[in-house]
Amino acid sequence: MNWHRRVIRFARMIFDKEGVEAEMDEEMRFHIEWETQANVRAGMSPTEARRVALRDFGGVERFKEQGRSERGGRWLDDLQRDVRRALRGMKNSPGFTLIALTMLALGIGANTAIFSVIDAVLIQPLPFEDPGRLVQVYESHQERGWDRFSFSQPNAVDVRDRVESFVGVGVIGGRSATITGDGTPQQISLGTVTPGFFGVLGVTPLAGRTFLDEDVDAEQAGRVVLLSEDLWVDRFGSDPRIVGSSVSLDAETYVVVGVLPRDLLWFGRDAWEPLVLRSDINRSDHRWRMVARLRNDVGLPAAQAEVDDLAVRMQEEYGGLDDDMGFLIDPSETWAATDELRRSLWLFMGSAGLLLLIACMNLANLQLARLDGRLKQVTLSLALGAGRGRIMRQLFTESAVLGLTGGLLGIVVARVGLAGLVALEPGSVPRMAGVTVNGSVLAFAVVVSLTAGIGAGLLPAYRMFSANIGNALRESGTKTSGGRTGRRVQNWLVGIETGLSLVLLVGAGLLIRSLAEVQSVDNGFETEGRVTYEVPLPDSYGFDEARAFRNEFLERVRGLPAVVAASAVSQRPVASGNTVMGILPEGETAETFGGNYSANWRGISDDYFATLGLSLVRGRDIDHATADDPEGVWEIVISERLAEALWPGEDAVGRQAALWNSPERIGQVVGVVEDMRERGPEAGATLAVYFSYDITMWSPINFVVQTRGEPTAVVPEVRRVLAELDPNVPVSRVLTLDDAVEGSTASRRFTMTLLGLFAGLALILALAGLYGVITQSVGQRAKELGVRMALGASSSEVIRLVMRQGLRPALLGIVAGLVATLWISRMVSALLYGVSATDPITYLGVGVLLGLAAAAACWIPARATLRMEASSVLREE
Amino acid sequence: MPKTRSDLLHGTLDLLILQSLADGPMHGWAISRHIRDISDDVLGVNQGSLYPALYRLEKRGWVTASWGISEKGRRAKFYSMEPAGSERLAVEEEHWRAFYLAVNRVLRIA
Repeated sequence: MNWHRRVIRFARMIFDKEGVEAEMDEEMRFHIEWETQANVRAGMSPTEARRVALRDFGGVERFKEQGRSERGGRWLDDLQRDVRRALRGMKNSPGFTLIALTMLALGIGANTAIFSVIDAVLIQPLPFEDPGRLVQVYESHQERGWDRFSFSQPNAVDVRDRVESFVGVGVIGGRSATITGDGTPQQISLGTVTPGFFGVLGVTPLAGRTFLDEDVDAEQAGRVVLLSEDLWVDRFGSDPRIVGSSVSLDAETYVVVGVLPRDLLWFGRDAWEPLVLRSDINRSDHRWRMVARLRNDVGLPAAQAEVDDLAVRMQEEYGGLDDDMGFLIDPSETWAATDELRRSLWLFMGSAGLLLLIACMNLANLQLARLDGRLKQVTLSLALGAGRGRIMRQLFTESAVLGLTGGLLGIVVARVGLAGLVALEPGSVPRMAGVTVNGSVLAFAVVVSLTAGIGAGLLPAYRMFSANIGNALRESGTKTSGGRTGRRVQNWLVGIETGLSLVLLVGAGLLIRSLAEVQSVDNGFETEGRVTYEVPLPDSYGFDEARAFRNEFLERVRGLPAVVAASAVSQRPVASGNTVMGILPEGETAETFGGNYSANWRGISDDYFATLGLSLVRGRDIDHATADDPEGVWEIVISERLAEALWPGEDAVGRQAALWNSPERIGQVVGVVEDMRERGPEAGATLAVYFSYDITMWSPINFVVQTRGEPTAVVPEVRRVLAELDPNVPVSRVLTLDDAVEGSTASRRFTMTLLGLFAGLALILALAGLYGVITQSVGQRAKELGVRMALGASSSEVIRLVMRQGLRPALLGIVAGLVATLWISRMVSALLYGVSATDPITYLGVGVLLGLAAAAACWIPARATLRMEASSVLREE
Repeated sequence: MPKTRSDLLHGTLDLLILQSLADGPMHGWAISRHIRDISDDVLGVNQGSLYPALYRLEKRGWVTASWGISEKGRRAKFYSMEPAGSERLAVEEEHWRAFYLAVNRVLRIA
């Protein structure tokens, strides 16, 4: 028979069962009629003829049954029957079902939620054309430990023009800008990209076009801008005629040429303007990032070799380059997730897996505890002639139905959990907003559910068939599974569960200790009561206007009653961006000094150190009154560590330094100030150079204000003061310094919270398992314990007896878990800070706590037994 | 007194059905009649085995079933031989002949 006829017949077996049955009926009826007629012809009376025909045919139903079986649809009927029976069974023991489904839903839900994050973040392809050929190119300064550094424009031009492995190169930088016009002024992030940038990525605009080469010529073509989908929706109400209309950025008029979609990973900005790269500007001003598309016939190693070669040639051609300057190419897959994020996600997946394993073992344990009842039922079926295979199948169906039902609930748990996860996640995971329960996630959930359900059912099924089935019927008692082997199996399960939960608990413990370490690190500056905000000044403010505005604004803010101190700075502490300069002692070059140092530079107003609670170690603060000549010698204050680095063992005050490594830009050290850990608590003390804000033009201006009471309460007053000075300038990025510092530990806290949650659930499940086994065992031994007590055993002796039974597997599990964790914990070591992956305090603490919790889980049921009067126990049965 | 009908030897039913269908399509009742008539009423097919056997043969792709009109104008299910069934018939015949010869040899020696 052709395969398609088979398919059709199989489909009919499933979807047209009534039709098939009717045909079978008709065929039988036909046969009997013909037989009857033949009998009549042979001389029988019609009644007789029919009777004989029916007799010869035998029981119609039996043949139909056999017919069905031969036709091959039999298993389907069986399956339906088994599923119905399984559902009925679940309904008949609601207690068991509730507990089993809760555990499965938690385990499967956790796995599904984490998998959907992994799917969205790691598995789904990047939203670019042929992402496999996209790369990111960095400048690197290996000897200084910066292997991935931003580009300077001249270096980017060299790479763009001279590297043949790339078919396209795009460069992106950015700044903030203030958008005015309809509505309140709003500060936005404005990307600055070379015209071909989005072409290299292969991003299609939602509307309009991306940049063209002629767009960079603002004089000729006018200023143009691309909007992000978010800005278009939020500020322009998805205006369909946005392309071609004008917007005002920093008081300049820009024509919108297109709208770009969301989810552009790290290229995402509120808007973009075109950039033309120049090779005639400062080669050490590193502010640009580069993407490139590899030629089809060039692999990553070949491209890397070419840029290595280029770096060597550039060293020869241009004097004054750092001799460790090079280039590094990363494949675009790193955009989806950093190594650390990847590691965290797989760590979450592994933890969720452990959680599910514990849940399954608990479920197996529960099923073992119910074995007695089931055993009788099964034995009866066997005695009534059901095949072993048939019963096996029924047990499997039950497990599968239980698993799938748990899975269904698990998907609900996953959806709720995901919402929480997305809300909790501090925004450091790209594409997190796009996490959904999609088809592949559902498929994953189904596979996990079936595996979990059937996996948990395997052991009980095996036990059932290895138990002496014949005995089960004969035995009048109901305590078969309380036999030695039964209890041993359950003890093993409890022990393993305890061990597994210990693994998670130690992991969570290590992360908690890391966070505590991070938070206990002294930042070097005061955060309490401080609030920061940004004020972006439009370009229309010239040098003198900007200075006047800044100082006037500061004076007015200082006059507010709630303000203790206020100051301006070019970049607030713990900001995401940075401004860096190379610095050398005056008269030295990188060669003579043996390399140069990079220091964060900050233009500051008066009172900056006081506002942050930093003390001058030596010398004095900058005299802003003298800072009126950008061409002259600048007064600078440097941080302690930088002073020690530039003039080891000497007094830095009075020394001169070459700023930006330039002999023309000399700074005179007037003071040395305490170190800050500005790059967040996890980096070391930062090298810093401070000079007067008055000799620089830097926008947006950051303000740090120390207040009495709630720091953000002062912001409305600040807005009012600002509006008096210039109503078109916004106050943006309002953030307390406490929050800023805390934000830098947010992703660490996220990891810890999630792992802690898993560990907590694992602990509860393991303890519940232990509790359940002890309760069951005490119940089974009630008679024996009653006799012991009647014969004079003291209550403490009986409790000890019971607890010994439960604690032995738990303690073995704890010991085994500790050993296993010592081995596994290497996986988390990269996520730890200030604590070793084999930290004895954590291991010991978790071990002891888990032991105590296990003791409690045993003690409670043991204690409950004692409450029962010995005599009542004896009267039972 | 009707002749004693002997039970079919296990495994021969398929052979007999395929042999019957070798002459052309037939419905179930006709097949059972055919076997009884050709064997001179010696071989009786238990209907209870006939239909399951037919379904089995159909499932294996040796025969196909389709609804047609019987000699007396009634709707009936006709079974007809597939090429795979003819091949099977040859195999079954060969088996049977070998079996038959072997039994004969045993009987002669005994």
